[in-house]
Amino acid sequence: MKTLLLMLLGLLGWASAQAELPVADIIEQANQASFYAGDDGRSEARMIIVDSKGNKQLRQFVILRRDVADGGEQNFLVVFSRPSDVKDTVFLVHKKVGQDDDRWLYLPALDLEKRIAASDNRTSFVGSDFFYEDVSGRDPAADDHKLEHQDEAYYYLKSTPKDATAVEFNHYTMKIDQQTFLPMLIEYHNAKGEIYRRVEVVAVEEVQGHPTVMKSKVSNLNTGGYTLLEFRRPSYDLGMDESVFSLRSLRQPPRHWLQAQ
Amino acid sequence: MKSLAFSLLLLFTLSVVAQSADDLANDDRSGDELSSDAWGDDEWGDSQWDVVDSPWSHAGFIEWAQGERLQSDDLFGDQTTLSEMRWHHQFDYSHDQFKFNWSHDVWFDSVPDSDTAGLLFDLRELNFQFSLGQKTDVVLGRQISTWGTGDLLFINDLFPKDWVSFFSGRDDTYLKAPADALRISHYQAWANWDLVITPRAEPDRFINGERFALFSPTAQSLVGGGEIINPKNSNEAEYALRLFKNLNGHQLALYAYHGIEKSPVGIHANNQPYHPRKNVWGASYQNTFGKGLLKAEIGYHKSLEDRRGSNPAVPNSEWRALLGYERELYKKLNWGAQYYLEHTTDHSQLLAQSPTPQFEPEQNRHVVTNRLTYQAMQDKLTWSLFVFYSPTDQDSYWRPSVNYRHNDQWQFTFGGNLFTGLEIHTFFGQFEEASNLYARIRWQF
Repeated sequence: MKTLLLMLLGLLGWASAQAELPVADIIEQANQASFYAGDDGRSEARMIIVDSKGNKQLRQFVILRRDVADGGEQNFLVVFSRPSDVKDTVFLVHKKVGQDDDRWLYLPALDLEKRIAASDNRTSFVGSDFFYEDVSGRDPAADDHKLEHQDEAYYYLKSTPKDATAVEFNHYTMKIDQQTFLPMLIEYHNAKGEIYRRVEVVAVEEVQGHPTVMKSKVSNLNTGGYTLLEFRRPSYDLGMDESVFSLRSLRQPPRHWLQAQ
Repeated sequence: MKSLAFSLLLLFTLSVVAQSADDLANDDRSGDELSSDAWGDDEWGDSQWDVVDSPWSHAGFIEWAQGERLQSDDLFGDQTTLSEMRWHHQFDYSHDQFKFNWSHDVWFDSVPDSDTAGLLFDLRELNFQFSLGQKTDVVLGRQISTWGTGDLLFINDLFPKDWVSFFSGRDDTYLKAPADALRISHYQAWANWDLVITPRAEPDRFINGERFALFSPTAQSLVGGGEIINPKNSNEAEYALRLFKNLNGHQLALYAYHGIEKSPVGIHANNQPYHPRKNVWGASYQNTFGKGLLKAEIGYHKSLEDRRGSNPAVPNSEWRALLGYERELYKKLNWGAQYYLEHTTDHSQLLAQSPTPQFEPEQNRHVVTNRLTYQAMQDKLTWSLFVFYSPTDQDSYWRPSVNYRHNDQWQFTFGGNLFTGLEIHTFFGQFEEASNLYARIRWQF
């Protein structure tokens, strides 16, 4: 009897380990595919922000990225060109894992290099419906992930925050492409189980062997507002070194890397 | 006149907002559908991408601003503090080897009874930016420079500031004034340095009585209503040096400055105000601390013309220090606080020699500041309040403002500059009757 119980427990343990392994693997690969393609990368990007009344705003910038450690620390440099009140504004991020990022903002009209205090990562990124976290990546370890089911093309996951007080969602679901591991649809649910926020990938292209999101959309279903994000001329593995992401680049953005490669 | 100007501003604001509402009513496209239309070229405007490809770029705005005193200052015939239509435009040209920057302001200043009314021009930038080798960057020409860690408090930043713009409610950007200078920045693994040489000293655009009155110890009263303080420009050169290093987020800097007092706080024997020479030595530190940002800065302002503090016509040497902390209290609600000290050396000498010791600052002048900023409506609406308060001077300066960014073209700002004080000779107290409210409407392109 005792042996049987032990065997059962062992079986259960084995079964759950089997279930956990693929989930962790899927999440790991999704994180890699979404935020760590290549060792570095650049792309031009533009956003249309549409509010509930149909008013539109534009943002246009070039984003440079370099991975310090694959799946770990990263550096970002974002240089804005539009609209005119943010033209030449530079945003530098030294992203950490498990601790707050170091961030700087350079305001050219004042020649002001401004260190920015850590802020809630789930608030608007440059006035858009994207959150800061949607752009730089959410720590996979912050949520418990569960594989709900899968079909021939997609994995369907449900993710619940470990610290429910730190975020505005109750849980979110992801539909991850089995081939590319890109999350094609993420839906955020509130405590009532209603979907109030949706992030969807609209177009994917293969760039230097990396499936790359070219167009995506985030919708705020509470307000009816949405933001479209489009990338142009992405490229990877350019060999950008650490100095491109130093404070020097705030005043002297690396012109060479800002131009199409 | 005052109420008319404000009514016009208000009417105009309402009409712009209403116009957009009309646009929307005519727009029957569903915002929720990912229609091909939303990705179409007419939506983005194909030219939007081209901006990145052209070596030339430009941007600017037209702005109308109006400001009025809250109470009447008898020294001024008219209580308007700001009334202008401003055109700002910047052009730049990017080449592989250099970047050329030009930016200017042209504005029509219509403050009544003003010495400076009329069409005015301010060249804010005319410089070439290039690199020498791999590690050195140069900016040559008219430029704006800023460094240091203080928030609206400056210890080691001796670059010119425009206090008239700041007090009258122009955009915060105008607090920094340009100078004709050469800036060399050198980057090394062990540390970086910045050297800014201004061959002919560029003083602050200080309060001179023309737009706002100020306290004169000689007259023992407030003076103003016209340009009262009109010093001869200094022919000194200014040298500003910064040594800095970012050690894994710990930002350390050392500073040195040789130049002038940026305001004409010295008095020649003929009673003419002037800019005495000074040196400044300083240091600063900043890094994240807990959920926020901690900063500390110190500077020794050495008076070169009054080394022992015995000359009452030249300010004594001073130690200045600040300690600041800022953090996000709640989503989009940011708070910052600073403690600032000005310690006058040889204070007993100063009191003994001064013809008006009752008006001299206390040996230790303490100031605390508080900043609250709240962004709402997806960052379109920004509420801000910045307060300076000095417990030693018992005076304060409040800067409330609200900015509404209607879209990429239209911005509306309302705000105030409110001074309080028990005595007319203290730093902020002297400006009590300059307290004003302002409004600005900006169309940017």
